[in-house]
Amino acid sequence: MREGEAFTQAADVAAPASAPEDPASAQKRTTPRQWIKVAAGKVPATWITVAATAVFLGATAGFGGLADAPGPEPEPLPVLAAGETHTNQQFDITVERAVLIDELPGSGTYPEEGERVLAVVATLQNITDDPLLSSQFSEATFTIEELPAERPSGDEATSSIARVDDSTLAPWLQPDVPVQVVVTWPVPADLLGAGDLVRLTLSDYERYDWARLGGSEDDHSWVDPAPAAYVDLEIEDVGAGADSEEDGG
Amino acid sequence: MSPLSATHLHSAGRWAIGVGLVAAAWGVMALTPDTDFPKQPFPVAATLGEPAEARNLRLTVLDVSGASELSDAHGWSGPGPWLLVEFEAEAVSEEATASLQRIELRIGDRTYRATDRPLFAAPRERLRIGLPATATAAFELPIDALEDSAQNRRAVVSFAYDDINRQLDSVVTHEVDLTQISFAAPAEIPDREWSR
Repeated sequence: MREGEAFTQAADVAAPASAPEDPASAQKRTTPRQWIKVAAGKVPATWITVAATAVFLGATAGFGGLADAPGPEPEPLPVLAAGETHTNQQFDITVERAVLIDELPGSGTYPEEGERVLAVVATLQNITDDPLLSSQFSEATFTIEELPAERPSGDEATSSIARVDDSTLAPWLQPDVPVQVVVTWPVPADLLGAGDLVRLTLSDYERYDWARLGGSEDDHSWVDPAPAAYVDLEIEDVGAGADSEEDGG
Repeated sequence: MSPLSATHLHSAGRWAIGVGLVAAAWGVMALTPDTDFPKQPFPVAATLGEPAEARNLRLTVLDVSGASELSDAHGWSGPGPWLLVEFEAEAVSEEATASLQRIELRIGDRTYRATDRPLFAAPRERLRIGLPATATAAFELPIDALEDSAQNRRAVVSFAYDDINRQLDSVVTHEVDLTQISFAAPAEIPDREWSR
């Protein structure tokens, strides 16, 4: 608006100066510069704004309009081998092996008729400052996509976590103390066999600080687990559980 | 004094007041306790062998020791290092809620929970009024807890009832110098039986 007013004033100033002259000479003296000034003074400011916007949008259209620019291609998740360590905000996770077994007492998974137990042995080290309850995070941290979501009985297929050494179920993980755990799933007996490759997905939780909402500074929770790495494991079939090392775990 | 210098003085005075107010605001910010302050629990320091009284809790730390490996009468054993805190506790006014849900060890910024393994060693029973019970809380420590460092010299064990709502509750604390404790020998944890 201010721009328009300035132009109007310029035109007003120009007009009285040329008033005493006769129309012919006035027309002679109207240089293109003056003409633009006068014309600009007569054009409403909104038109200028609209025109500028139109030009801008027109230029934008040349680069794909106002749609979101395509982001960078998501990087493919790393595929780890057994024994390699994946680190997220909560844990150092080293997945060691995958074992198929008829049943694994003490693991927290009780196979139904026609099911066996898939056990993944991993070492978890809590790298936070607080004790973490393993079972609160293991379900989302360790997933295997190819396993069916439902069991023969119609129940949801869920994983369990236990310590390998003394089969404590759902152990607390103390800061900086590495713990070997076994994560187990019930699987249909005919789904997997010895030598098959199974892809384990490791998901990372994100720390959410309640201080953002005016909570105390120490308060936080772990939210939004998202896939962060894969581990390809070759399945070892130990039949009925002759591997005595696994029996206790 | 010329009017000009008076104006200068005037403006200098304004600046002084402005800067002074900013400094004062900084002082107030620095002195203000953090947002957690009004909700802090009340610590009750316990010395070895002396009973400490907190809300509905009378607790005596009897012994603090270390172990390289812990075992129990049921054949369980776990490699350490372990910190063992033997204590005697009783309720004072109410038994219904008198369950020690929160037994923690704080080393620097890190917090350790009394171990849940072996399950039968975790003291989870309710306390009784007038019947002191003895139990041992075991803490599984990281290897670096054995080093000589400032934070290891000032570890703190704390006992309280409510693990979730900690605000404004009282908590019995006992300071432990981990560098003065020997973690060389294995130990056996007594059964979880209370009152022996």
